Amino acid sequence: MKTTAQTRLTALGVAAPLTVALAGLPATASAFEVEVEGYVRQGFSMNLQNPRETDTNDAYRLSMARSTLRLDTRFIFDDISFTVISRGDREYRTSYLRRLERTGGGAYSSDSDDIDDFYNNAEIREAYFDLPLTNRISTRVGKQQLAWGETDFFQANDLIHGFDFSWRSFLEAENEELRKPLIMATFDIDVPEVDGNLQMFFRPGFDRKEDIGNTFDLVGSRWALQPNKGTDFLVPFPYDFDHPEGRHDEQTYGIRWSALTPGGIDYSLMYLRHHNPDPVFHQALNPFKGREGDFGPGNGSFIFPIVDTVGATASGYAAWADAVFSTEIAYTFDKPYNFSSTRTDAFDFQGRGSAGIKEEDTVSIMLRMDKIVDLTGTFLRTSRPSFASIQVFNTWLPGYSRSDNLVELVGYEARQQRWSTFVTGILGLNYNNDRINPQLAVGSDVTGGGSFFVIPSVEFAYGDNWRVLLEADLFFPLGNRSKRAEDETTDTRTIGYFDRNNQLYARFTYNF
Amino acid sequence: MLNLQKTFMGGLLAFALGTASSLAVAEEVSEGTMIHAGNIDEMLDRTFEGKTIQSMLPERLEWQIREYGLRIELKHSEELPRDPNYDRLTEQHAGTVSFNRDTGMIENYCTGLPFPEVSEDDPDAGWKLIWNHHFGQPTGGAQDYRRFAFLLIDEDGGLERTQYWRFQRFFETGRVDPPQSCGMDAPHHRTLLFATFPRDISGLGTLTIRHNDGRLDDTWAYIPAVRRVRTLSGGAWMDPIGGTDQLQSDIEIFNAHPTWFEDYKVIGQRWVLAVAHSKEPTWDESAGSPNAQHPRVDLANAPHWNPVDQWEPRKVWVIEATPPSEHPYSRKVMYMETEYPRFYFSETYDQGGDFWKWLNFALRPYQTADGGWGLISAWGQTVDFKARHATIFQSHPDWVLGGDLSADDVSRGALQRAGRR
Repeated sequence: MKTTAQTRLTALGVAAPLTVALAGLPATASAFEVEVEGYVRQGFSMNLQNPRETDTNDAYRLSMARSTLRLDTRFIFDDISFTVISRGDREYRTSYLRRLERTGGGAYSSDSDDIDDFYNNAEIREAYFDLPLTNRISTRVGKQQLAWGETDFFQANDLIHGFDFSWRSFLEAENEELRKPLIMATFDIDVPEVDGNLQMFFRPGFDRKEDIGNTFDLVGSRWALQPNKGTDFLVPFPYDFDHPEGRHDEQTYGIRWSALTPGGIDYSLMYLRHHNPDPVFHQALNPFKGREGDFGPGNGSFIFPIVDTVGATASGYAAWADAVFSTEIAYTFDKPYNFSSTRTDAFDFQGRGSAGIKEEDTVSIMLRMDKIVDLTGTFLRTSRPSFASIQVFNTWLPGYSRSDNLVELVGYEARQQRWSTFVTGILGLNYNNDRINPQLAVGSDVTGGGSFFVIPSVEFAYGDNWRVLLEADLFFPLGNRSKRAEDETTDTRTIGYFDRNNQLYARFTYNF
Repeated sequence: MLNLQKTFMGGLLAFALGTASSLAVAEEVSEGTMIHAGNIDEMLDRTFEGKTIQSMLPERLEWQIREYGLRIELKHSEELPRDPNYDRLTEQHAGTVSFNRDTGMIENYCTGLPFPEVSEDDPDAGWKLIWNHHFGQPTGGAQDYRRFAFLLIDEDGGLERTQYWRFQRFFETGRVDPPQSCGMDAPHHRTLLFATFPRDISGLGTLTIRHNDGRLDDTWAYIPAVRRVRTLSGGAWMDPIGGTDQLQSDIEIFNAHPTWFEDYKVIGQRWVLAVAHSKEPTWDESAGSPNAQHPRVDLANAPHWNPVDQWEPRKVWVIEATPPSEHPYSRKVMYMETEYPRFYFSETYDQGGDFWKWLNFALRPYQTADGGWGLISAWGQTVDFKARHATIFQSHPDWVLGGDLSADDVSRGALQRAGRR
């Protein structure tokens, strides 16, 4: 497979110079260890509702049967180490997925009409070399992932990498599995006098095209936003990773200073140049900044323009509330948005944000409170105090003008708003010495009609190796939905995209 | 008559001497004697090193022998080795430190043991002993516990889970190792703790800075599943450590700033049977089965958490600590070695006043990197008798006291590097 072959070449490209570097180690480097760990995992997901796109009632049908093998290997030579993290995924083609392939234009059409090319992978996700240069300066070179910022659920300053939302959307809690590693050099300079750390990264642009930006289900599969299941948008509008405003091989970089104030506040300041995380639709009749690039047969493409972001974070424990407060702010200059035209412009050929790309400065703000709540003496009778967290995430366009007709997401008519606010909450409970761990996650699109999701789950830990997770993913779009593709509703937003996509998820993991 | 009287008196004397002699032989038991449920009643009145067995068994220890199959093998007591730097600096600054009853803080502290002489009659004796524990533990200026294990044990099912961790602590104040420090303006210590096994917690790490002024700890966690460092609540010092039976404040019996508890009272001094020179090894990784790997724990027999070691008479302080009202315990009784401020046992009581947990930490002298001496916890058990569950701490031979660990190695940058994969 092309993907695998490219991965191998990339891995070799990283590994070869590292091998040379290791060969150059002094002969006195005596301590050598190899650490191996990983897991074998089987995940099943079942529809709890009938998606409208298929001609059969697909409620209670398997939407996913996914097997995963992950292997983490670390070679340690005294203070130097070389880490390889590889993962292979294989999916069984369920009857529901087969129906999606036959529906409308057919899912996966852009991938040789084959689910195997879309979901199945065998790749070296990370391969990097850790080298301390001095007692205070260290470097990591190779394919890696680097997370900045405070929030896990949203992307404010966590912008260095794209995320792969194709196989389980945003629902996988361990986002290290979703983050798309990149080939970079990272430098860390510790300044312990102020509990500080200066971190810099440089990405030379050696990455594969598919490692750039967020990957959504644009091929019409199980996590395609309604009502697009069975429609592969990448056939008429493929990705253009060579557009002059967002070349995949263009260098990107960033710098972050993080430290502790004398009062115990942990803060960071950062600047980074990066690809816009979400793809924007680029159409031939109104090219972005007049630079056309390559288009598909539908005279359009998806591109990831490069943007600049400055950001800051702060977090600290407040004794008066017995809670940790965290905040994060990111200012992205000229962030690209799709827009619709209210006029009969020649280039507004499909509506729903397809008129082209406009840029707007964008501010992302996150506020969060983490608190340990003692529920041991309540009716819940947990075995230890519980972790609770509430988070508000806001997107603000300071130069917003309604007449710009920016849309929140191409394909839908809902306008981008000056302020968009999302609230999430998590409550984690523990029983039986943490062998039974229920959790409740909720989220609401406050400015999008109050639609919300609820994700109850429970994880069971058996011995050192077995972990079982049961989860329900429940979406409540309220009036925030569109029922058919041809509806021109203007109120379908984030939660509404997942209308009729409720799932039951079971995950069995054997750790080793 | 005279002869008869002489004969009678002589016989009486011989009888008395003979009886006394036979009683002395019967009462003093030898090293290696095993005390267990089957012989506890006959052992109680016998002596070891001149003290009755009963006088050396705290009530909860005797109860475990009778009810939980605990077996105690007797060993003659040995002196604990002294660290020359520790003794020299303690002597150099002796008598300079004072205790402020209003604040619970100490003043004019430089280094070494703050209060080398504590009288049982001193109304502040409990506080002074806890401050001795805060600054005067003989552990060298740094602890690099490259591996230790938690064994999580169910009374019926036995060993449930195993966790491996690494612990690195650098002391900034109270140091007797170079670079020596004086005063308590800087933080007390920095501690890096991260898991290495099993895989689902591997890489999870915390960095904690303990201050001397009584404010709550600064703590951060590295979460490998999201590759990010997050600030943790300083108020978690009284919460359990993950899924273990041990509270944060239970680490090595007592792990809190002295002022976080309401009060400390000395109940008295007494002798107990405790493990001060734990047999080696605690953990033998080369062995095949878990039972063989952990020879200091009787994993094979219910309740699966009993220690297998040698117990010797030790003179201890008995201190009762009163936690704040929000703490899970209503009181905590602790048994501190009189030669060094290290604890052997603790009994904890729930908010209803009922006995809840038993903590038992075995000591082992350990040579520091500069040739001095320290004391480590060879193993430690925390038994939750309400949950019928225990967490056993296991040391590893690959530990370093003192050494070249520096403050730079126990920093937030180090947390991310140590934990991230």
